[in-house]
Amino acid sequence: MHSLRASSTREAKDKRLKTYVLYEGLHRWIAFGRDPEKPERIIDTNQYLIRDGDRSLILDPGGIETFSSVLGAVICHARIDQITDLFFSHQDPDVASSLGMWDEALPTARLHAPWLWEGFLRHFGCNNLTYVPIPDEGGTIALPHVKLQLVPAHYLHSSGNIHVYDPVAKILFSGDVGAALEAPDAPMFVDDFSAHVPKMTLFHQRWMPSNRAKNDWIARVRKLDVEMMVPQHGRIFRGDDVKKFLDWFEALEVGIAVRHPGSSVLASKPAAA
Amino acid sequence: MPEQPFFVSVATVAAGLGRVRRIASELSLAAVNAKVISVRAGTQAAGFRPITDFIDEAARATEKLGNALEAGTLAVSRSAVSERRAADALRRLRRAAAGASRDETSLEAVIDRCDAARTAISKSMTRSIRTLDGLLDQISAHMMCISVITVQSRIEARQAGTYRPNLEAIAASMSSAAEQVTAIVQQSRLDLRDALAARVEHARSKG
Repeated sequence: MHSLRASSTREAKDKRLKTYVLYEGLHRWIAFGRDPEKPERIIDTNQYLIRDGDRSLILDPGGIETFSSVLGAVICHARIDQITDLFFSHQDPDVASSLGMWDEALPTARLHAPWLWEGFLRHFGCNNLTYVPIPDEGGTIALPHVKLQLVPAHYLHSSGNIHVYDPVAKILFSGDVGAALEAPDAPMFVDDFSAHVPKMTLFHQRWMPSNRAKNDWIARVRKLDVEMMVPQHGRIFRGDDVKKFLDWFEALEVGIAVRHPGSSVLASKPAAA
Repeated sequence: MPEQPFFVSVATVAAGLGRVRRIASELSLAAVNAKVISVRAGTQAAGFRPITDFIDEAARATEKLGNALEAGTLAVSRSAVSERRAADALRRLRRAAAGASRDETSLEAVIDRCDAARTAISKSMTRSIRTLDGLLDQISAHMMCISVITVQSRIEARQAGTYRPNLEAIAASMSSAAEQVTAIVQQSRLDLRDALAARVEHARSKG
């Protein structure tokens, strides 16, 4: 069952990353975000920990600059030897540039990431971790109480991109899809979808390159029973807001820089947003 | 089993000490309860009432120390990561310099600068560890004070007639909080000492 009340009461009131328990059953989902120690001009990121028995998986652990905050927060929920798996949805630095540090911290862990990026990701330093390449068609990660589904999301925005669906918690980790650019102390959950739209529009129009890929992903996700969609940036969507997002995204034309070269859109940078 | 990096050891200590804040909140709740019950008990708790001020003060001080402890451990943890990154950059620069031609000396200045930065980070971390050590001393001493208040609370609770069980429960929760914090602090001290010893040993083995 989802434990939203519990998550709000458990919000940490300190200098650590803010922590929210999204789901508590035989396994748990914990979200971390809004790093108060994040250097300026670095895009804010959300990290997610799935804790299941003696296994723990971190989704998109983040960049090198936020590594110490993420490690400090995660380790409050799982001992270092219980963090057994990392997942990278794609190769971006805000997802993966901390790899070299995790490689030292978790030498026996597995790194699940798109096969396409292996040779590139290893540039961040990956001498100890076992790289588990995810094929284009996706796959699964079996934890003790849940078999996570790895959902293809290619070209959203990366050419090799994977999302994670938990059929028990009904949570979809959607990487950059659903991302929003806003103040670092913004709430963690979408509470007014219409008001949230302007914070997402430019990001999706500019970063997502392909309408065809977008619609293919939407069709795939509509078949899933999603109660919560958790992106790597911005706020978490709950309940009806998930459907509202899919409808909104379907109607949105993306890849706009191709059709409007030289527009102000091209100059927009996330850190300045 | 590969050696655990120092930054992981320190993050583990920080996570342990983070629990002090939660216990401090429980202590604050006990302080509020103590005040409410002693007011309700009236003359039956006449001897207990003055102690509630001490309990309240102790709870506030513990919370303050818990916050400082958390900030202190996070500072050490962040410095440990920065030190590791600086050391890594230095190692790579030295490797590049070793592979460069003998006439190439421009890297030397870069290496010196990085070495100075790493030394500054190490010094800053040493200062943070010293501050943390001082805070651990303070909180240990503070827990001893709470133990004394607890003993006094138990004595006065016996005189509180029908309110005795309530006041004894408050004394018990204070005692439990003090014991938990003391145990966490002791364990953190040991873990930090081991991590520092491993760090020194690691540095020695690397020359």
